[in-house]
Amino acid sequence: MLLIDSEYAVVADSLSKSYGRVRALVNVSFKVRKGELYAILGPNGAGKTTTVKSLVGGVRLDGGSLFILGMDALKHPLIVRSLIGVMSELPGLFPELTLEENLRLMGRLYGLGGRELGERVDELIRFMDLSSHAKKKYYSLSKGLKRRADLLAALIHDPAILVLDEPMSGVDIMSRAIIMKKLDELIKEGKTVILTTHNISEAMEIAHRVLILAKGRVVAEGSPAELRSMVSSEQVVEVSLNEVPSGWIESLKRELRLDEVDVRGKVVRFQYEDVMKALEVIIALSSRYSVQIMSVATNPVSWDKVLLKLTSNP
Amino acid sequence: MKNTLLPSIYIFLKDVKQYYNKPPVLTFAFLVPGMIVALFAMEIAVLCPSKTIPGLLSLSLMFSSMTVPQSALGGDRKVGSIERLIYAPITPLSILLSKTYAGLLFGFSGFIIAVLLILPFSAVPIVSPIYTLLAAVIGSIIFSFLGIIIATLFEITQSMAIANTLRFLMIFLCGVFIPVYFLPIYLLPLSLSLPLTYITELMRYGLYGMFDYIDPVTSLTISIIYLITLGIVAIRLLEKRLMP
Repeated sequence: MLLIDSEYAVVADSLSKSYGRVRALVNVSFKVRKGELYAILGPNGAGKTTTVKSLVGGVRLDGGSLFILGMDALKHPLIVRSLIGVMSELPGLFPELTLEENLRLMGRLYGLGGRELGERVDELIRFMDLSSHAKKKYYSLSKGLKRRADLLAALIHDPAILVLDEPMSGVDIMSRAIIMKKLDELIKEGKTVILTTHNISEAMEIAHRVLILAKGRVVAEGSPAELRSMVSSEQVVEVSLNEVPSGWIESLKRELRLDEVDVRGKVVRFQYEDVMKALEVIIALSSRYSVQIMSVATNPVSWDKVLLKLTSNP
Repeated sequence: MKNTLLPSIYIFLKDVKQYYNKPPVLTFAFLVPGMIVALFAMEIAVLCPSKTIPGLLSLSLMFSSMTVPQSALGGDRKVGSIERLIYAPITPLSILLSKTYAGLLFGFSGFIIAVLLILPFSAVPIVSPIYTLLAAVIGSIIFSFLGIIIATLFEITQSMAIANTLRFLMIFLCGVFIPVYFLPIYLLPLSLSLPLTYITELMRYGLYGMFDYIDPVTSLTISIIYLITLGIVAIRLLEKRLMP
């Protein structure tokens, strides 16, 4: 097996896939560096699952080229599958088998056996703190435990690349925290992790780089900071006053040339790029209208707004 | 071989644990054909055994070998665990083989149970062990492939209904109870297009050294053509449906 030494774990170029008239992927290109956590983000139907399925030959592409660790994935799908561990969107191990039996079966399908397999199963169960659940049937586990078990199944053959489709979907906070922590450890070990999510905050929190898809097309790619700056350098300014006279709002709009100001009770919220200028105007107006400023806070524009803006016109 | 044969055995063993001891599978694999065989077994002594017994044994073979792979594949698709198999470095052929082993195993078991049910009422002579064995093996594989094709094309609840319709259609059209030459002429093409017709004729020749309508060489040839064609269709469908 020839694995070309490359800085990239995945090089996807112009991936295309249609299901009948529905174009699931339209010339999707991206590169994933070795050892990074790469998130594929987008609303439902954006093409995230089709993209990750294409990495392991789960869909037959209409066009494009795909290299995994330097290996042509379209020419050598079986070899490529042995390099990747996959966690599907839905819990998908075998319900009537115990966690341990599931892991043994998956290990055998990846060519492991004997003592090596037994040790690997034990090691993984300890890694995910699931020793007390090892003999339980998969169907009897909670959703959070099932997702942790799914992650172990993806890791059974110690793959260089992990592909996780919506790994946090529907899991409780505790399991989410454990999965996040374990992903962090895996990244530190040097594994490449590619995950899909529709939750932008989650993606921005954990990913080194993010690919945003909408309607099967790439709309943006970059680090979280780069993506935010693509949309807006504005900040959200939130002012809390002891009272909000209508003249105060009108003057604020006029002086900062704002189209929109959100007033909820005694809290005024608006977006503005030059925070210092906004503060000067707020202080001047408070003095003019004799109102007391209780607090002022500035925050970056929310990730949801960033995603909405990026995906609104793919 | 490494990506096909061994994985197929592991998947088969997994299915044994997951599906094959479940009441619905056992009911359709053994109880339903067993009941039908038992119902007719008492009449065999007064009827012509060479007309009835081959049909009953073929029927039992069909029920047992078709139900089990269909349930296992349908179950894997229903719970989503089929994806785990697709993403592993194994070929679709290994999935097909794993389900076919079960069809063979249950087909033979159903066949033997049917023989045991008939024996108190009538002897079961085996004039040609080779033809009997060929009928049992080829029949089990053909009906396994049919079950797999149905489970690939339809969701599990639909596939059960469709498989039952096909099974009951075959019981009446394939010489199980009514000899093919007694069928109205307009039903003959339909009868001749169904695999159970040829398996029943093969079984009849294997057990009694005689045939009703189609000679054993023709039955064997057409059965092998069925086996190859259905095998190719099953593997193509598996690839197309599971890896769209």
